[in-house]
Amino acid sequence: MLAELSLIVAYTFIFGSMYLGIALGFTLTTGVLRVFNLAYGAIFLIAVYGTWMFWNDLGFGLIESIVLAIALVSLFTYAVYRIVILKFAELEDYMLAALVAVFVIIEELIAYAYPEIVGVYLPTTIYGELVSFGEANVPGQYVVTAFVSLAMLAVYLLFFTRTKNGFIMRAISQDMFASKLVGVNFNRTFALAMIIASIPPAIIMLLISPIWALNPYIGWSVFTIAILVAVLGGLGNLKGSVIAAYIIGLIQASVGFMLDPRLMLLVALVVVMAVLIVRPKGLARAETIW
Amino acid sequence: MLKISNLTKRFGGIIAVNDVSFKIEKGEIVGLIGPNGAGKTTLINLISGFYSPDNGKIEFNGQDITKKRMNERAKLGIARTFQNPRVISNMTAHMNVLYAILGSEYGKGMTMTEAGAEAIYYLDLFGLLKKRDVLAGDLAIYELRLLELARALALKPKLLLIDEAMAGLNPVEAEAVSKLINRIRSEFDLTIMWIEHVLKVLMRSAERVLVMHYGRLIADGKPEDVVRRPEVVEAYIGEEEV
Ligand SMILES: Nc1ncnc2c1ncn2[C@@H]1O[C@H](COP(=O)(O)OP(=O)(O)O)[C@@H](O)[C@H]1O
Ligand SMILES: [Mg+2]
Repeated sequence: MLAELSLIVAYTFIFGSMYLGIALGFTLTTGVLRVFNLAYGAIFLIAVYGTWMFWNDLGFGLIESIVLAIALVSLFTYAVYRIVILKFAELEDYMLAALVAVFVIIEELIAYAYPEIVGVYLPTTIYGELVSFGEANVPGQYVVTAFVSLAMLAVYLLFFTRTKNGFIMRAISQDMFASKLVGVNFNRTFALAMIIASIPPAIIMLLISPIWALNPYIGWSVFTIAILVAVLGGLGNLKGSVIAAYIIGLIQASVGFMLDPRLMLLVALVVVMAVLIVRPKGLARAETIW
Repeated sequence: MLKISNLTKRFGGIIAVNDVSFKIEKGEIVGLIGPNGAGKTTLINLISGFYSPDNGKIEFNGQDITKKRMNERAKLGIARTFQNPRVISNMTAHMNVLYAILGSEYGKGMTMTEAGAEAIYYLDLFGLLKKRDVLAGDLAIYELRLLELARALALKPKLLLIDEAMAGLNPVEAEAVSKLINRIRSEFDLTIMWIEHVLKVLMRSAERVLVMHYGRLIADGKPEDVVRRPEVVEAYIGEEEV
């Protein structure tokens, strides 16, 4: 019993932090640009397969490959912003359809270049030993991932509370109209938000790829988690996302260890749906990024 | 400084602004009055870029700005206030002014600390120092009017458009706002276009008054002359005062 409890506490922390890292960028884009970025799932794929391409196919060192892949991810999100989001700014239905299309195109391209049977493995393990947590032992790589997530959250918070661009993003997320009034340059701020938003999911994906089996369609399942966290938290609200991530982490850890691991996602989905029926706008109280 | 030519704006069947032309010179403080629904707010909305006109031209310092967007006009030096104050209610008074500074051209080179101090200066100017950490959504209407003025001024505008600064204020507050507007005008070398519903409050401040009625500009002149014109008196028939 005590062992089970330790496991649940440990994995609530691990899953919660990890899910937060996965959802951070999605929350930022919805909060600041007010765009439900359905191409977000492609970021996970480009991060890992990009690294694989630079490292395995093109012969770069691992660190260089990671840096290049993250640059590629930033370039990708910027292009999505310039080519899709700006173009369809007034036509939201078309924008959403186009964003899904972008995601699927990337996915299919990767599935073509690196079919599932080929097998892609990235040696991005930072700490491969087990870490004991009370009565439980958990993979060190998970713990690393959780702490990296929290570090990225801290960077986000410092950015929002201490820097000019962060302040401007926060204000835009509150009131777009007031921003026009004071002459803020939207395009630059939006492009910056898109790029900043693409980094955390890329890093988290690289860290968990040695634990999770990679395949070209993994983007959807990871993206589902980002959506769950963001929607439960209240779209575009970072405080809400933090709470939501740990709630989902707790649900999954409890279900996984006490019920059946195969029910983890299902139960999380049902609980989130139930919460949304009561609180359609999620847990957050204000429509603002922070 | 500002040249309006044949400006027209329709909303469905209503012609809110109908073929309006006038000029404002640098340093002037021009009153704009008219009965409710005359088109005063719409005119300010057109000048500040909130609406685009169906017809006509707006020139600012010799530059055609008719097609420019609201934020571009703000950058060029056109700031405004609203009949119903539009501030960011989830942010404090200080943050609202700080935001204007960060958005402006001169704020670009500033650090957060410098911009924060600058914002304090504007809050102080309008007697809002004690309210700096109060959420704008919790401010009284008088304080909101001051906050809007502080924010507009923090943009270092050349032209300030004021939409009914006096509405909803008691006589003491109205007097205070009026004094402040006169003070910033001379201290900051501003050109001001100031809308009020009735002329009384503008009598002392404005040297020149425009009168609108049903979207048309029906008078333009010294306040004391304008009030006597039959068409102006006519426009206000049914209202208690001009
Ligand atoms: N956004 C709008 N949509 C439709 N009609 C409008 C709009 N804005 C103003 N109007 C109409 O235009 C006319 C002028 O309004 P307004 O400019 O607000 O007058 P004022 O500020 O002088 O009271 C009114 O008849 C008003 O109903
Ligand atoms: Mg009005």
